Amino acid sequence: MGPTISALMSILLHLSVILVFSPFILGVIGKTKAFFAGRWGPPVVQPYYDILKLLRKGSVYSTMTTWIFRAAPMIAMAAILAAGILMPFAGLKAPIQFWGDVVLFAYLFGLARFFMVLAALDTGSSFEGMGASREMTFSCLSEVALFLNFTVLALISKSLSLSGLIGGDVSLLWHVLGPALTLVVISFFLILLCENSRIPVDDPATHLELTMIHEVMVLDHSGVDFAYILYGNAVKLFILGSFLISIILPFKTQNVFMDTAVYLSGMTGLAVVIGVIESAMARLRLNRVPYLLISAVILAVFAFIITLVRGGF
Amino acid sequence: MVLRKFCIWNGQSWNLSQVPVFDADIFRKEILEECRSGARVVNLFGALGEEGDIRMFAVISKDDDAKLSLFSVLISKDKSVFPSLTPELTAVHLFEREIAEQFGVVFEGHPWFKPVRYHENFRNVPDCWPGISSKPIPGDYPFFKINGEEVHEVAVGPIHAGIIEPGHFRFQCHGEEILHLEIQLGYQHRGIEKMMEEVTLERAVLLAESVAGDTVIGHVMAYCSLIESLSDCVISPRAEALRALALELERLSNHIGDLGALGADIGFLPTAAYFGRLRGEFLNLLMELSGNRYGRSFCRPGGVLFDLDPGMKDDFRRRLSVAKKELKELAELFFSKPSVLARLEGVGIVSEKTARELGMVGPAARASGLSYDVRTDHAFGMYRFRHLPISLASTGDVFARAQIRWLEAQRSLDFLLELLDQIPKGELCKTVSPLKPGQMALVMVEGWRGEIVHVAMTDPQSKINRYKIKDPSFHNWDGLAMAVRGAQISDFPLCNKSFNLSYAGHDL
Amino acid sequence: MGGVLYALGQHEIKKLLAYHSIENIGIITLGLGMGMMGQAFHQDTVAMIGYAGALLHVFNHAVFKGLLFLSAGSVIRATHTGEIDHLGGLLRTLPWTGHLFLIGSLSICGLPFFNGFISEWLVYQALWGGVFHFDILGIIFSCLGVAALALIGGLAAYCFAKAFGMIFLGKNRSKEESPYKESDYMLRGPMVGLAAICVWIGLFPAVMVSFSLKTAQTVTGIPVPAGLEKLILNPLLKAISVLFTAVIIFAVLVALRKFLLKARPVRETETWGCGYALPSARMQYTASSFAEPILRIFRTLLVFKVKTGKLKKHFPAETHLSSSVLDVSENMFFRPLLYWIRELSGRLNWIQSGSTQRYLLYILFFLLILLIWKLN
Repeated sequence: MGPTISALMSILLHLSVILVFSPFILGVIGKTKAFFAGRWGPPVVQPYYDILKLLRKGSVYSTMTTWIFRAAPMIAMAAILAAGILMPFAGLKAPIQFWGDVVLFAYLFGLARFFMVLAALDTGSSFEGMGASREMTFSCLSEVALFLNFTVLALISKSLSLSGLIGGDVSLLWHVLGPALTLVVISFFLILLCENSRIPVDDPATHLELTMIHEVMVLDHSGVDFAYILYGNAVKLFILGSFLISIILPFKTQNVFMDTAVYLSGMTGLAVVIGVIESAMARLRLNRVPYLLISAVILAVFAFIITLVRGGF
Repeated sequence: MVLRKFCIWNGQSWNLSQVPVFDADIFRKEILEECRSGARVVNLFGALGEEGDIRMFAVISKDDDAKLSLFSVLISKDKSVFPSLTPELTAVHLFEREIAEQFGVVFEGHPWFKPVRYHENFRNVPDCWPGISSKPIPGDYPFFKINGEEVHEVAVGPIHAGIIEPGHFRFQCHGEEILHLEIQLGYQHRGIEKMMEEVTLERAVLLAESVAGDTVIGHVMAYCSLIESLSDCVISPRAEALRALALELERLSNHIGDLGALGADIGFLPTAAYFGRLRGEFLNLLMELSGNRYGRSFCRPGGVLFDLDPGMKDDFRRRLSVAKKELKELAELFFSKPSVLARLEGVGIVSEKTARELGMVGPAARASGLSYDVRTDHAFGMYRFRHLPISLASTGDVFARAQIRWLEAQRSLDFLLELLDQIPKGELCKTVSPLKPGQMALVMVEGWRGEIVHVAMTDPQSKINRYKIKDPSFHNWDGLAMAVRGAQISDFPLCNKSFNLSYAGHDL
Repeated sequence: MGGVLYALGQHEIKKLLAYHSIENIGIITLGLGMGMMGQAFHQDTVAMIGYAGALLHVFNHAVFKGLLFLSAGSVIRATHTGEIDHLGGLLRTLPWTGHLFLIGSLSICGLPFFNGFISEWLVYQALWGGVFHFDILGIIFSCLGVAALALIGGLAAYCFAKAFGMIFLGKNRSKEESPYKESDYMLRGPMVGLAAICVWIGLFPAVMVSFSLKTAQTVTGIPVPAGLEKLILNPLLKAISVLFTAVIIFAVLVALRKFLLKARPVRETETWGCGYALPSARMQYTASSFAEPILRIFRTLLVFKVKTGKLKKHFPAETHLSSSVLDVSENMFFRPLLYWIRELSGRLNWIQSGSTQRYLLYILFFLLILLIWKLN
């Protein structure tokens, strides 16, 4: 009975950390963008307010929709949170880890995406169909890049669980396989931008249905459902960002507080970097986005080659 | 038969009886021949004749010699049918549809015979499209359709995502590609032309200011010049200079605002924010001049209501110089970013041929290489004394339209800085004498969007009995539709923003 | 992989499913390949996982493809058409078929909770086993396999989002009202059974995994390494525990939503259409449009053609659009082959003249040849 309860407690702790911190990243990005635009900008906690506001609202549903439309935001959020359980954060070990959990990690995101796409098609709106089509196109490519990156990291770390990929002695490996890891980091960063609909792939701030990807898919969602979607997206950004930060800042002191401090500053730094990128460049033409993702794949392939050569296989 | 030619200048008034009346086939032949030799249909509109028949006027411009030739044709009130010119001359298709809607004239052989603004005709005869004004817009509007179940339609509007005007866009798409776009407007129809004939002159000027909310100065200047022309009033050089100042400030604020909006559309934040701030600066100057950020209640027939005192003049000069410097820095940042250029270049191309065929005007036409600017080719007011070079591009893409705005903004700034040094003296506002009876007048103004044309006719009692407005958007919406044909649908908002046309100006 | 791209390009539901089988056979081949390479490199563990994955996928494929074909058949029976672009919104009129098709789709995409996930998982394990245990060439092949499998997974999700979304969701594209009749129990029964197997394997994979391991042992003759079954099953069970956590989170979210919406207004209106007064069924995405972006990316590999009447001038006349993906192997290989066979048989037509005497002559010749051959 004891281990079960402690396992449950650790899962709960893990989930609450994810839920508490994830909107913060969005807030930091918003603040950075406001800084570059010469504005004061909304407070860092604005995303929390937004989610709370939406949670308190009623909903409007299209008469055309079925249960899929209503269930999809919850399925997506549940899948993303479940994926979060597999991801270790700084001082926190992943509550559940096992050989090959990366597959589950990726496929849970796949499940979330599949249902969001179905929900979009459920409305019968041409806008949402458009978004769904774009989402599927880009995710096909980003999934390949994601799995290749996992493979490279697996080769490096000799592990197949998320905790193993980024929990081991990554800092030591930076000395040996620095170039490969750099490429992995860049490639993964591109995936992160794409998966979270950031510039240059998508513009989360735009109001133009015809140019959007993620946002246009959820055009008909409102109230609680929309809050789940926003929250789910924030969590997704947080989880993928954590993965990246754990590779970039692999320092492990034995002090939990120090680790957490390093990790949190790393996450904030990541948010600032995303904000700077969004401020400093225009988004790509939509038909150029695949090239960006293909370059993510190619970077991963290069990382793979370097690992093979340098790793003495 | 020897054709009696009748030529006028911009801003002139003349006796209605001077306008020659041709037979239908000569009327058609004349328009087609003139256009074949490079002329342009500036306006084609109807008016009610004395016997209740319809008199259709054509204003043709030969931009090279600053002359406008004018002639008309009579269409019988009982059998209101006229052979359409559209198959040979695309540019007039919307004029013909407008006349059909206003006067119930059927244009035979018109390939795209659809309503424009959904109102009853002026003659109380059966409408060309039965029940047009009783059904909710768009009624039975026959949208062009590409057959095949693989094609999907995207219907955008009339309510848009953003604080813009209502209008409906119907895309025929396959995947991401736009096969065809049809733009159906009319939601903003207020009946301004009709109201102009009914209200007093004091109210008419307010109507003129409301034709298009972002082109207040442009339209009200056209209106005032028209009234002055119809009453033989010559305003003072100082008033002309102040009007030009207001017009250029309006141009600057809109051009800069558009550049900022383009930045926002492509997700390039820095310029989106700073261009927006700079636009505010020009609006503020306009407010200090006129008391209203959009320049309302500044121009009135006879002159302007507010003066620019010497202290303000120095302040204006200083602030415009600062703005010029900031604009330069910003534009250089905007036009040098590869990621920005990648979005702008080669997107939404309108070839010179297409632009000419559609009769496009203003910056959008100049971006496609049509060298035409009312300020130069049909100079009016202050521009008769001070020429502005025409800004020209050739690629006709979004980049060209953005570049044109930046060039014109620079030239406007230079013009203003020079003008502020030498504002002539004179009476601010003269009293206008009553209008002359049986007259007709035409005024063209280069608003920031392009050529604005106002035409008015007075009856024997000196009352205005026909007022015709043409906003530049009237022609340029077609340009937008052609620009996105075959383009990616995700590029449409950007193309749309690069034109930034007026719904209200089109719908009147 | 080509299979799934071709499937994406199909407009007809059964053709789509048929092309999709190629992709599944690709997954199976990946598993078998890893098995053989494992044998070659004397890595019995990898080999067995590979074989077991392949075998399990064969079984799974039979189950969910069967389910999908049956429900597609049910759709065609009810609507008399298999053209995806004619359908839409069937989930409301054909709820059984629709939900069963959804389960089949989720399974075939290899999404968690369903059986496809288990077999794809095994194949991934085998591939990564290769990455860890093979030599450099083996590693490269395994890595290519991982990339291919990831792409296949993404494309399969694309393909079935299209199939399910376009057929069962949204609004009917050809008729305003769709009074279709749902299949009766006799037709539903087998489908329900197959769907149950999908879910059963997805959530309780132990039996089938050990069964396929045993089968692999029988077929290849390699003994299952000790503890392998545990090695495979332990992570799988942990994965399933994560899935159950997801279900709990889902339940919490549902309860929270219910609680929050209790005192709030919930309204139903039309789908947002920009306030336009007269929406029509043409204003929704078509299956063909849905698949267009990805087909465009891969157009160098496929022969993807969009035929459309050219829109000339400013006022175009009536025109039509259709797109197609040419099956290269069909058009470049099988068609010509069949053509030649037909031509050849045409040439040889005179042999079959219909006269009994001549046939007797043939028999005689044949016997003579046999005799000569025998004597030699």
